[in-house]
Amino acid sequence: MQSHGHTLKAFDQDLGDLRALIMTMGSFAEAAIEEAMRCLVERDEAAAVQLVEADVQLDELEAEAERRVVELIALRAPMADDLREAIAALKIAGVVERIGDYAKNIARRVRRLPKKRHVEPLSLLPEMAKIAVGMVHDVLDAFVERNPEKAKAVCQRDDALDDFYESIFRTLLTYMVENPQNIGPSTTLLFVAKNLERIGDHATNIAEMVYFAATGERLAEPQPRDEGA
Amino acid sequence: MIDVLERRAEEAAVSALPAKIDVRGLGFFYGKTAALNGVDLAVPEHAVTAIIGPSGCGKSTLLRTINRIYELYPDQRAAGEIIIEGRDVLDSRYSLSALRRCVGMVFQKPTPFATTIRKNVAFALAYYERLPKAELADRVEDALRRSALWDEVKDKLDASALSLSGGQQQRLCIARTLAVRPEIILLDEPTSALDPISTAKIEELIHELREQFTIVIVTHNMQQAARVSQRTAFFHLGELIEFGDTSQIFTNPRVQRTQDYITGRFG
Repeated sequence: MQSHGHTLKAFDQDLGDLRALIMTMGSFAEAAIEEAMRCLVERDEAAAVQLVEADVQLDELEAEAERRVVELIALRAPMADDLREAIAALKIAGVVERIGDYAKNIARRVRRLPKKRHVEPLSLLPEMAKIAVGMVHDVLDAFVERNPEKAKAVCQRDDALDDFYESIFRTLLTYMVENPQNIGPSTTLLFVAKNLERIGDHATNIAEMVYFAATGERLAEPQPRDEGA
Repeated sequence: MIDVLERRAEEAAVSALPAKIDVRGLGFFYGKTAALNGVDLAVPEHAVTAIIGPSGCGKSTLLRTINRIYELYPDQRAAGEIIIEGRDVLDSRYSLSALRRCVGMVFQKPTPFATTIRKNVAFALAYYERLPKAELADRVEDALRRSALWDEVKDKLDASALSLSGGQQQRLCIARTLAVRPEIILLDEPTSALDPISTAKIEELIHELREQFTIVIVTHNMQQAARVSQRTAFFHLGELIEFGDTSQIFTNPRVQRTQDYITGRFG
């Protein structure tokens, strides 16, 4: 939407730096989800502990983003789409930090899974994680590009994630009914699936912020799906 | 309805305010050069309307046209209509004296007369109305109070107006304008020569005055436009590019040229 550079070059520099910082947070969160899933599949407890400890870095990045947005508003007095972008960056930083927390939660559950025995739905979860990571990745791309259409497309992918969650939920329920010994590990996996599903919801929230920042309009809420179908 | 949402609806109602000044198809020429072109603008009553735009966009020309100050210069000419209270004030049959009474103007630099503070305010009053001495004093006090200057000058009304600070002089000029009880006040960059505290005082004053007057302010300072006005008009090269609620103009302008200007990405 910006047809010219800002008359004050330092302003564009600040805004660019803020975008880069949000991207860094996003990459961090994506990598954390992927690493948490690897730890889960490979039962890598040591790496999982490290991942939990590393989350504090994401908190620090969020604090830095907050500081920069406050500074940008105070010193540069951004207007119109620049102002909306600064506000969006502030909110997105908070949501990405939350996404990092979900990755941390997944890592925490690694030690609850039995070491040797294979738990079947585990093979479905990395696929689900791939969709969630893809959504986070693309929605932050959309933010940097100020691309409302790309943001909208991310929202549409949330349905696939919800479908995944439903199907994993049913499968795990069957396992638990079949054999009470499965209840422990199945519950753990159910939490992981729920965490991934929540990551998708947060990516959708970011998409709405990106859409608003880029267009000044609110993205229409998607029509509720017919649950009976 | 929830309070917050109710307030949002009230803000939206400003756009529905009746027009106090209805500018229709206004053109303005300095000799053969057009400074305004086909401007249509409905300035709402009892609200502050800010006019913004780069130098030479026609914003000051618009103010000069509304109170016909341009008539002082032989080669300047306006076309179109400016309707106030149902009458076209550009019509030469419309008395200039009546127009100036209805439309007051304050300029960029304070322009006090080289006389006492009291006489500065009383001057126009004496011109328009024959008032008994006591009432004249009341009206002077009232104007100085409304322009938030009274407390600072009440003990030295017979001191020279030139002894006041720049900010005080500007408020004195506003008092002089208010004294004749106009309906419309035109402010042409009223704070560009003032320090931040004087500026804040004048902005607060503008905010208070909008209840009783219709105010049009030309300003180069966009933050000021955002702070004091309810509606904002953006001009460029003599044309009105966009006119809307101030909050909309500064958060979500509809026209790219407006967006470029207010975000500082012009040219």
